[in-house]
Amino acid sequence: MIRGEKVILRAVERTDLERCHRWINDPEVSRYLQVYLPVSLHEEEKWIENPNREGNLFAIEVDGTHIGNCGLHNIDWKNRHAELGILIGEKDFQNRGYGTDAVKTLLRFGFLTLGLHRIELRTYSYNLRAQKCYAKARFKKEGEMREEHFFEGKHHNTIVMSLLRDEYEG
Amino acid sequence: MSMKGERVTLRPLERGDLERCVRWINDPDVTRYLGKTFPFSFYQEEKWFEKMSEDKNTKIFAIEVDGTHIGTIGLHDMNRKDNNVDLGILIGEKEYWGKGCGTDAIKTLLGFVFHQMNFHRAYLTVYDFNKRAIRCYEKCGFKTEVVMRQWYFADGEYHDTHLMGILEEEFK
Repeated sequence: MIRGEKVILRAVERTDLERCHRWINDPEVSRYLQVYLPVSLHEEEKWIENPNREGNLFAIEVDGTHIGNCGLHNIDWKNRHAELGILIGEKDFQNRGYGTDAVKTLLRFGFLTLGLHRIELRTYSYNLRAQKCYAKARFKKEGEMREEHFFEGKHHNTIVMSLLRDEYEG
Repeated sequence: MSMKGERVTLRPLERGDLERCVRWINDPDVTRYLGKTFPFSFYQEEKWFEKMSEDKNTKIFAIEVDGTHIGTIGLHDMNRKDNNVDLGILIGEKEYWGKGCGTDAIKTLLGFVFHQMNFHRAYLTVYDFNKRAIRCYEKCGFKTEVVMRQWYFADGEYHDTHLMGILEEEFK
């Protein structure tokens, strides 16, 4: 278990599966993710259990309630970077700083435990709440991939943000 | 089927091309721009070829100039939902460097990507010390959209990596 200020990060268990499946199929959640097809329970299970994933997946818990997932994905050990991903699936827990705390906890894990040099993320231009959260965690915007993402009839820009090891705590 | 540019021809990469490809991707002058870390065997190259041949989202072409195979160019991660594609290129025969063959190959492939395949966007990544490639991509109409800071480690230090993109309406 990895302790944050308000949240803890723990391994995702098989018993979390139905919750994860509900979140990933919620359009208010998936509109901010790459997912665009309905996800079956079987597919979600395979994703959670994927042993080949170079990275990790954590459940975010607040006082024993599982509210979302996060992780560092596509870890590139030689170049020492990874991609951060997060979702808060329980809407009562959105906008209350839990996401920011989970991100900060992941940053500490990535830089101080894994020894990464760079942690990056991508987010869609219309996801303003996420951008605010990442800015609070001191991520810097590096640019926008123009019209990279198609959603609700239009192409949208995808924003790339990152934080370097020497900027962390710096 | 092959695609004709001004000077280059693009045709599907064949098994018989692999020995040349292995020579190129074991040449440090070439690999320093590709991010390959380990020496690459012929066996691995064959495996790569088979994997790529079966991957519906990848298509690799050989670049030929007057019947000589000088490099490869490919479409990777073809994403039909967002309608974008990742482009990669390598000119392995060094006497053909700096002669506009890469630019011609890219323009030819972009014509296919936008006018035949109806993609909306093409993109690529390039290390910041690969100035020749960045100039070539700019000539083809790519714009640097993101500078990924210290993304790539080589020769004892971290280097920035440019993510460049071109949209359908920007391609002439």
